Amino acid sequence: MDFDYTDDQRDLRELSRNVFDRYPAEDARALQDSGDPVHSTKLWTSLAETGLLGLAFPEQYGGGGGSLFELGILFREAGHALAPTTLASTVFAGLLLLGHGSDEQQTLWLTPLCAGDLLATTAVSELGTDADLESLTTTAEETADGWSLNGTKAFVPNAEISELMVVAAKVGDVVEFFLVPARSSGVSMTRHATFGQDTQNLVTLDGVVLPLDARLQPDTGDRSAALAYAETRTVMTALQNMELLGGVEQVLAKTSGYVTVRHQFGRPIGSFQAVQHIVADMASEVAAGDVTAHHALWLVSAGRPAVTEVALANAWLAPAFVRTTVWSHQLHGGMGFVRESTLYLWSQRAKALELQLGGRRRQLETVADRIFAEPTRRR
Amino acid sequence: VSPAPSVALDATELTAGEIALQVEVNDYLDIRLPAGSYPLGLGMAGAVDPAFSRDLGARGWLGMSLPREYGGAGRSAVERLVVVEALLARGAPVGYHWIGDRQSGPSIAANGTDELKREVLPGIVSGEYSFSIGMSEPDSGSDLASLRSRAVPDNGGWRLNGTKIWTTGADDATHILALFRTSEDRHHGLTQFVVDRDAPGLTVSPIPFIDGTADFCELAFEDVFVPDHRRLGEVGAGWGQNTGELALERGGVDRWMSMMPVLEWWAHQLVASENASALTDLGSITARCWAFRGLSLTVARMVDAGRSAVTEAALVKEMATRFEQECVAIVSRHLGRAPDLGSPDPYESLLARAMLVSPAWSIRGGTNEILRTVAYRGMQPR
Repeated sequence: MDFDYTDDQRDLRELSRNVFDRYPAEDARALQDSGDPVHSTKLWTSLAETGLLGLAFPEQYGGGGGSLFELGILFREAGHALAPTTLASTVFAGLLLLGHGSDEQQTLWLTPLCAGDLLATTAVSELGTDADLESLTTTAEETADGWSLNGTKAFVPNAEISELMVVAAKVGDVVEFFLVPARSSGVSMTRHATFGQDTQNLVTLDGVVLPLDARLQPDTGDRSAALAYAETRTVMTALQNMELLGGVEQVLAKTSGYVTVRHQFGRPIGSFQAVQHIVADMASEVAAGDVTAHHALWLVSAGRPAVTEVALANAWLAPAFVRTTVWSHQLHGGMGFVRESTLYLWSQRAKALELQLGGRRRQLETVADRIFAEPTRRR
Repeated sequence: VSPAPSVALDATELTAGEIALQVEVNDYLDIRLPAGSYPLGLGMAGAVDPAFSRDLGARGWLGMSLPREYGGAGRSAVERLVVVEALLARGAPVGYHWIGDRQSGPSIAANGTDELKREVLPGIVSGEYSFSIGMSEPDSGSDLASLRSRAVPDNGGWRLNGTKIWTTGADDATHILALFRTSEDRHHGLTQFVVDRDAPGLTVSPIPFIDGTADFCELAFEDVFVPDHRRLGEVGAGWGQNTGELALERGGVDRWMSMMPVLEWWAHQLVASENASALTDLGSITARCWAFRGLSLTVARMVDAGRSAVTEAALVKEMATRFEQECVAIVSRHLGRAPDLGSPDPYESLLARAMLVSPAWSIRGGTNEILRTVAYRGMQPR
């Protein structure tokens, strides 16, 4: 199996790149400096009009019916361009709906999502829970009026500009997911001040009343919500691996360009071995990340077991992105640290992504579980 | 196996007198800087607080090694290390006096005329003066000797023209000690001058940095006049003097103590922890801090003995800045989430700042690539 892109996939990459070209890093910096949540309506409209937003959602909802592999290609370009995190948060919520919602729920929410009329997010983590479903304390109780939700969700991406939150809450001991319109009565939120350009909110649910059909519930099958969430998170991690890959590639490109134009000692700094070796280290990170991310994505897209491969790729790429930005700073010297240059936007994104989706520890534990499980099974 | 000939680091420890000074300083700081009463800083990038600097000056803890006749205490580099270590451990507001105390004062004492020493050293000792160093230029960073800012003799003094960049603290400074080209000779055509911060023709523009601070500045010199007595050392002697200063700049405890307040905060959180991997990391960090402390102490003893420590100081900075960056990565990894720059917990906020600026630690004061070259050359038999 090789992962060379087909002609169609190359066209998709080209289209994605053209759309993201309308969102230069200077726009990202301006949005961040404005203090408002980083989201570009201009970019969002382009993503919807070109069908990229609904790329992997079913055609019946206005989506493109594409594969997750193709969606990964879009995410790679998103990483190149430092796309606003609203893309990832909305797609994550959409995939969870697709994986565990009823036809009616999907029609209601995925249609506007594909059309570019809906921003959505997923609210799982709580302070101190590290996104571990077992230890969640938010509750949903069935009352005469419907469901009543109580609890506090932390680090919810883009909640303050999303119309829909998919919220994890416990019904007794069982974790379920609920479709919560963000402007529901009883929902209040504040913003975490993160150093990245991403907006994350602390969301309080105080007696939020929802209709009974607000619980995410597929029409058929008896797969639990927790399992659906775990599967969706694996898919999402595979997509974010591609975003990481795009980011690493872009930092390498910026750096290899800079070292050929920056002169010291009468020649380009890229002519010094000490500098060449750092650029070569960066290229090694990209090569290894490319192979592992595409392999894991391909498994996910083919519906094959991929938990370990996705975790391995993430355990490589997330720190690789950080390492690469650090090396890039080293070679850019002081220029990499001023707001006038935009390199710092990639550094911030790298650090934010490294800590997302449970962070490195979760990925390594996933890998370790597999290592220790396999020989036992074979014996 | 004998070590390479020019890297000679002899183990040493504090004397009873030095330990007594340590106790005295810490007792004073317990009262003068109660926790929460000052903005925490990352080592040498501590807050600017002229009143605090004057208080230290009044206690005799600035310009300690400067000669008594110019207001100094005639004390040793090791005694200064003891004071500085206590300050940095608390993330104290050292920004106002830092550069003058660390390097401009000693360099002026070593190279200046009696007139110049009388003019500026007492102000460094008292904490009235704040120094900033003008070295890098937009096209001259690692290749400092290629600098083009020019000083031309004029009417009993000099006219300065050109642009300096990354000049830390220049906006708050009273004086800039800057390196200018006085002839075309690459290394012997450079001369240092002490320029007033508010000299006519000098424009200081803070550069917005990625952590929201603006300590780094760009300096535009447009026909700035300096009298000849503000020249430091002989015409053409600037490069050698500057190199000597770098030994003071690179070998100190400030190269490995930036994270100390954050590390202490983190260690406190681990008191009742059974997280083996965190405790192992803490142990490893502590062991390395101890080693770096030994290195800085040895470099200070070399300075006191009048020995050149250029090579050794380059080695210390190269290793120590990598260590500091690793500390940032370790603590943030154990935090498990992105630290909040706006957190009400000042230590968490400090960690967030460290994550943003720590890559600069292996660049400022000489990149690690340059330092490795310096160290290697220093190891060659002469």
